[in-house]
Amino acid sequence: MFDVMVILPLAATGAGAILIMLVAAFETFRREGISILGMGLFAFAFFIQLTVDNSGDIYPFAEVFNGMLVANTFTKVAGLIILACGFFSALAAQTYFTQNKGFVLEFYCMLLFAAFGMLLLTMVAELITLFIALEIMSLAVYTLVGYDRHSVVRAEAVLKYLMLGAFAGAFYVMGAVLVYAGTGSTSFAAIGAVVADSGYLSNPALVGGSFLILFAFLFKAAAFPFHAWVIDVYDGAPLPVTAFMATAVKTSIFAVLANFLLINPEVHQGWVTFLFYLSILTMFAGNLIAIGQQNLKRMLAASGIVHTGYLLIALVALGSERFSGGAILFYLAAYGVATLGLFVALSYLSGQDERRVSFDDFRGLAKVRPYSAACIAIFLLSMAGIPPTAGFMGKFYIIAGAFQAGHAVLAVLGIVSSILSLWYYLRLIIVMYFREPEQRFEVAELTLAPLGTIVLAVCVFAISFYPVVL
Amino acid sequence: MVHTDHDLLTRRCRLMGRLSSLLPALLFILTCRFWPAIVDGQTYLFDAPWLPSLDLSLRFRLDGLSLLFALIITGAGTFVSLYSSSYLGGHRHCGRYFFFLHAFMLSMLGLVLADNLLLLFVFWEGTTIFSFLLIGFDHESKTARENARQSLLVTGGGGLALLLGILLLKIAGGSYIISSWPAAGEMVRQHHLYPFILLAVLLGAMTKSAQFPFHFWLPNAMSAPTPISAFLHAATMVKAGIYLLMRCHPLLGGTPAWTTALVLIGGFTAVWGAVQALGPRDLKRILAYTTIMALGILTMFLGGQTAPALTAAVTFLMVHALYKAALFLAVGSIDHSAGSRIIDSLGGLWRAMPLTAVAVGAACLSMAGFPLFFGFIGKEIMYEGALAKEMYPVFAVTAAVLANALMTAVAAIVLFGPFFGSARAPRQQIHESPWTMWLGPLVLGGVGILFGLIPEWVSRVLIEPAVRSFHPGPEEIRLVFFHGLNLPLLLSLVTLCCGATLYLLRHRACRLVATVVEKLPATFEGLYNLGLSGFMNGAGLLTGRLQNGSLHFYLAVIVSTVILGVGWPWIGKLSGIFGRWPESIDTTALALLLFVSGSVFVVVTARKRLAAIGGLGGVGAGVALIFLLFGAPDIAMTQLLVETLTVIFVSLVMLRLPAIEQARRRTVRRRCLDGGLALAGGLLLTSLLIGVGSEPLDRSLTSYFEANSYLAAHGRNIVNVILVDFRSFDTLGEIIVVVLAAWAAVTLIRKPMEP
Repeated sequence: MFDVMVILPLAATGAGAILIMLVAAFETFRREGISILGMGLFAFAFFIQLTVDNSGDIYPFAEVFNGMLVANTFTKVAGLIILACGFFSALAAQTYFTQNKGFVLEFYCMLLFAAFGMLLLTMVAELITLFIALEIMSLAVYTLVGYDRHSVVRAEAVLKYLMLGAFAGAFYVMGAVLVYAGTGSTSFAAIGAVVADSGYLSNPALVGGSFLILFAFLFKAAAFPFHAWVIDVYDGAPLPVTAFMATAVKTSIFAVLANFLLINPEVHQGWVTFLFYLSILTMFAGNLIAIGQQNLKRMLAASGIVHTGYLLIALVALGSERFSGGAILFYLAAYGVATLGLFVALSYLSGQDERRVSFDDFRGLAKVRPYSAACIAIFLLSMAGIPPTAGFMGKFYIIAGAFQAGHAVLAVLGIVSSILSLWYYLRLIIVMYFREPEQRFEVAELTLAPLGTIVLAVCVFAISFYPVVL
Repeated sequence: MVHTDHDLLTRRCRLMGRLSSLLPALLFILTCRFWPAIVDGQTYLFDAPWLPSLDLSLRFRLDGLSLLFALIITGAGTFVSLYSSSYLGGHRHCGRYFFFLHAFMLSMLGLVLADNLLLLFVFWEGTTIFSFLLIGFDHESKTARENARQSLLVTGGGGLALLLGILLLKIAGGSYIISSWPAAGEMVRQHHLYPFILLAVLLGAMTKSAQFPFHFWLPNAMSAPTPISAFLHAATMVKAGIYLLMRCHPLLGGTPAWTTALVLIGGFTAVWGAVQALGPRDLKRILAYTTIMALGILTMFLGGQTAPALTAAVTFLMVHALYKAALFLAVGSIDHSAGSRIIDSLGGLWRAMPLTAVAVGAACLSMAGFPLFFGFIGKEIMYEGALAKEMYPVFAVTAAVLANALMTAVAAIVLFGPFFGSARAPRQQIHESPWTMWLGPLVLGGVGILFGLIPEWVSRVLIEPAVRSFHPGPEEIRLVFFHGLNLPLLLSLVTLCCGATLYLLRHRACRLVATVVEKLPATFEGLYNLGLSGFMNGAGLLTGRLQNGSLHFYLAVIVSTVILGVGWPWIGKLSGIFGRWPESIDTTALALLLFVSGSVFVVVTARKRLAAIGGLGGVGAGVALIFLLFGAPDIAMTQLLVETLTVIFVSLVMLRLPAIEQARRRTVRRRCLDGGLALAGGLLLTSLLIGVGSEPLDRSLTSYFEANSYLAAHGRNIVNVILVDFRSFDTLGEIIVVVLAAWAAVTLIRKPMEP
């Protein structure tokens, strides 16, 4: 019975997706109804996940699944973040499609399938299942990005994403094959046992394979130099989808990477130097790209690269004393709340056909819609890591962890990078508060997004003051 | 209509200002209630847990030093908000202004009351941000925005250096709790991280308190409204760095590095600031440079270890807060009434603005250090402190005398320039400002005289508790009205004489300074601007180069990174790996290999889509045949079916696209690069596979399935059993993938709904 509870959120999202698919086929529901249904399913799965007590490692249905899946507090919290991201993306979509073309009833079905893949991804303990989870997630996200086939921008975005994503998938499979060849197993734990026994660097197939796998993940997480797609794709995707990609995809990828590395400390040792330089390059490349952007979505995409850099710092410091996956999840939650908040706010502020997306379009927002502007300012400050927001706590914890792991250079550069990032976050605040308004920022009736924005703004502080994850 | 609106705004603004000045006033009274107990040596503590896992607690502490700062902050805050209620007139963003002002004041109070270093940092950043918002308050001016950004980048950067120092301190064994520092001092000073901690903390303090070479932001910050300059950039915020140094004194102070760094930096800043004060003609900028000088003096004396040096720092801190706030507020009044603060266009104002003139007179005499004024007491103890032997007396005394002499001259310029001499504008046009605006300067100037008359009392109730809280020692701390004939008095006389001479030569001196400052080949502000523009250009260049939107380029970067990343570990081992090349290759396999390679060649070079798709099919079929050849007929079957379907689908889609001939041909160079990349990738994977294939095959899985498929799953076809039983969960996942792909296709074909 308990095992059922552990995988119930997973089953609920999968079954929910199929339910929506069926409902959509009969076209009995219209947009409103199906939006509520989608949000309800996410909320339902979230609360089940919340009630399950996952302390210690649980292998649900160990006999049947042969230990393919593992559940613990880490996967629980990662799942909660993903489901919350799904809920708020669904909420943003509800509002977004009142003013934008291109809604199909299956939108929520794809969203739920993507969440299903992500939940699976957080729980996998084995390379083949991992690939399937990755594919479920990726296919659903490709569809979400590009289903509006009349838009050239979206078509370009999805083509780029699909092409490059296919390469990443191929790298992953090659890597998995080589790792299997090198260790004789596909299960994380068994790989860990072999590596602990015979060493990491002495096994060329394992090294090559694991690096190929790492590259596939770095592609999905948009680390330098695999980051280039992220700007065009985030820009081209519809706003709610961008929100979902920016938060949930990143969460699941880092969850599975952290899971893998926590079980395989030797592999971690082998990767540390590489991750060290990569995190620095990622942070600075992201910052430099973000500074040059005029478009908010592109700026957020570039700043997402910077946040990937911070998470890579956390991966470098993983396993040191007092520092475990908790910090990564906390950062992901803090980042997720702020990013989602921004996108939810944009979903109603951007107006018909996303016509307000550049910095200058938000001139004087504070005058016309003071609450929205205040919320956006809170989200931006949290992303920049200004105390006492959740973003500061997350950054502080990661930087303190880097210090404890003996990577003072990384910590210093992390701090420098956060100074640089102030540049583009403050820019929007300045534009909103210090310029005269030229538009009225009218908003469609009957939308939930403004409410969601305020809830998320409260969350920024709630997470900061009650950091349950730590 | 417009007129009425403005009146309404003015009235609202005035009301808002007066009401909100009750907040600092109440806080001031509240602080005063603790005062007697603090003088008796008590300390108040308040502790509430916040984030135990981060060692962050809401821990506040009120001791002599905090009390002194809290009194200055709330006292000055009261006058400044009162003053602003009139100064701002009918400004549209009045509410925002007072919100920022009081938010800043509360952050500053939090900063001086925090007993947890992390908490202190949180408030520290708060003051930086509100200072940024207040400097940029006049947001329609580009200069104001740029200056706001400059101060934010400089002080914010310093703040993060401080955070770094805090984290290092924790590693070195220090605690975040300030109260527990005296005990840990020795250990931290011995630690090998000590130099780095010192450097980081110094960077934080130097940027915040405008020490050379980070001093340039302070004069530029004068684009803030004048009351803000008085409050933030004279009385309180710039003192945060000084406060930090005082707090850190028991923990980090006392080492040769500390003393040398502070004395040299402080001394140089003081002299350089004072010299530059002679250059500008704008009263506010002059005052800004004198603030830099004062901050330099404070830093220099904090380098000392003995009671006189530290007493000098605390005393001068008070002296400066009193006269500088008064002067800034008065300059604002002048600007408000006479419409200018350029010294050359002002004169003879004392008739029109007598009360302001009195206030400025008192403040300037205190600044110049005339006897009977608090400034004189401050200067006496300063020279006494400078003569202490750990302070490099020759350097310290020279710096102090020079800086003070220049200060005397500047005080005279500020006093005589606008108020005496011939009037530049008809008297009728200039009126004394409203009471809210002259009250502050007058009271602050008056306190300067009062404290000058009762120095013993001041030292007992204010200076001594403050010094004791960061320098507990047996030495006597006492200020006296007259020290008797001694060396400090002599130095005071020398200072006054030099100052007077300088004032007489002021035209020549001012011109000289202005020329020299202009001729300086490289200033740190120039360096800052250079760095900023270089950074922007770099960002643009990088974005243009790396982010060019070309899928081909993105792919090339990704593939080459993978090749390098995976390949570098055994570039050296390549020969060894190829040494294990199988000795004999089956001729059928060789033929298939040639077939597949030929098909690939066709795909790459084809100038017709159909030919390319055909080539792709050839590759797939060849691979299927390879499977067949090596004994996997079921996989070969699957591969063949999938390949056939793929070819059909791809041709359906591809043939609707424009023909390849119309596309631009890639250049030869690019084709060579692409080809090289492809070859390198192939070489890498081949070598990896040979490396793997030469090891004996691990048959454990095969034997496991052979042994268990019938027993555990009751199936004889092992592949089927694996698919539907051992790995049924993965099969389910695969089915979902297929459904998703189908559904994606359906979604793409169906007509989307209108909003």
